[in-house]
Amino acid sequence: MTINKVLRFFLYFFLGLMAIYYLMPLYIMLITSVKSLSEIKTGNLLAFPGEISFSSWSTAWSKACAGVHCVGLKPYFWNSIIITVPAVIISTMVGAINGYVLTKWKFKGSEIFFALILFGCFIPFQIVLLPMARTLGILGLAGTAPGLILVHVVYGICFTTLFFRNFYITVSDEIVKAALLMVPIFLIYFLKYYSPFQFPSLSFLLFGNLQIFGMTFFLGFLFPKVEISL
Amino acid sequence: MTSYTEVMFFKKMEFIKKNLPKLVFLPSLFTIGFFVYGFIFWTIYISFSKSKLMPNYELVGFDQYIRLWSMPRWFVALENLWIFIIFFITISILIGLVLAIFLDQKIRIEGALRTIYLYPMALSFIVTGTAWKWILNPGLGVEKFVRSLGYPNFEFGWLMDADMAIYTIIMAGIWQSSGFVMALFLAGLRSFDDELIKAAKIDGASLFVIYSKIIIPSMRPVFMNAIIVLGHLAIKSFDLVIALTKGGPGLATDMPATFMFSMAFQRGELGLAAASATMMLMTVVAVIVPYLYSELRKKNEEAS
Repeated sequence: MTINKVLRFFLYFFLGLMAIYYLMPLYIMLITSVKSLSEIKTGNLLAFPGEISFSSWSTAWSKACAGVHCVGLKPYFWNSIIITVPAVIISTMVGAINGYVLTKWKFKGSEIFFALILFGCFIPFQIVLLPMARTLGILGLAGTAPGLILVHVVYGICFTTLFFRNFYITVSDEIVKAALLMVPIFLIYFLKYYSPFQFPSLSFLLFGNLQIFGMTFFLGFLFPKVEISL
Repeated sequence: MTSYTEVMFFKKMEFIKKNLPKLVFLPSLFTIGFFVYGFIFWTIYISFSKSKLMPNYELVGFDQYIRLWSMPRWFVALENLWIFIIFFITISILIGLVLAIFLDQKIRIEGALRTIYLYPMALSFIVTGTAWKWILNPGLGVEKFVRSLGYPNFEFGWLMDADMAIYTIIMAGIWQSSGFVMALFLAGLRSFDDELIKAAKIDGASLFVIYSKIIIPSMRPVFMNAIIVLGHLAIKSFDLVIALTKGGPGLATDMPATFMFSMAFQRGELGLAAASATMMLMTVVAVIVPYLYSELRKKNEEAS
């Protein structure tokens, strides 16, 4: 019994140690963001701050300089929202429809199309980088929010289709048949009967997209002060 | 009596009803066809042309590939990728497997620990890379910390060392992805039949034997999934390098992804950039296509 207890202790100790390892960078970011500049320069990276000040947060939000523009994070953050919200909504809706067609409404050759879309999830983006840059330039969308929305929707469709296909496979055909009898027009019954089931995948997609577009700028800009001081 | 127009109307309705799935699917198909496959074709075409600063559609055969394969910088990038793939995949799988097995021992705060192990994957590395840069910085992070503990000669300057900098990228990559591997293995362990374990215990097998002889060998598909996902992440890795070293010191941590980016947007070598991108795509295809093929065929066999 005692050997077992020692083993359990070791188990928890190891798991706790790993948790500390994974949390370390996040801890350092948060702790450094509330320190004063002199403390960052002289003090220990891991040490708790002597006094907590949120002045870097407000500087980062509205006063910090990226290049020559000293407007802080605010406009960038607004940009992320403008880009993320439509990109997520459009690619999710298209993915939901595609996923439905690929599972409950198969036609001849749909498996091949699924394979083609699936492959799109794995391509290295370098292979589409040059033509995408040119296409955006020709359309006059380079460096604009609609241009970025287009990019994220196009390459998001592959992922959303995959997620929704895998999700719809688990929904029984009976529900679909019942829906088919009642409202024969596809889009209407799709919206009416499927939306409640979509939330698990939906939240995941939101989360996934947010991390790519929103959080990048959000957290990355919180700590410009330290970068400058280094 | 039905009129001619009514007949035509019903025929049209019939056609739409029959082909509705295809019609609904068509816009996505065109989008993917143009933006994925059309673009891939364009890039491959450019890799066989003499494009420099601007696209030039005159074909020159394999010239760009010959130039690419005679560049020392490309070999540095490939060597780095190779080192990265080997260490990143093996260590991530090792840590992920150990964490999953330990977490599967009816740990009380499993939910919280799982979230902690997984969160690095959810944050962009452009963000967490900043913290890693501080940790690895000799004057700020680990080196300073250990020295302050009373070891004044301790040195940890891998980030600035051309020979070792690639290993700092590997460390950060493992930190980011091993939690995800843990989740894959944990799902595999959870789907394992408990009855088998109980039977083995009754037969007197120790926990170590049960894991090493029964459970781990049965998880070959999970190993396969993990290797595929990590492998293609490794080939595509761009943000890790950019956030930590920007390819430096010098070009010591250049990878194919950063190589392509720099050729395309800094050096004005579109042909070379397209050739290196095509090499990357071919590598991914060699890994992914057999995998997708076997996965899809397996599913079809299960269904029928």
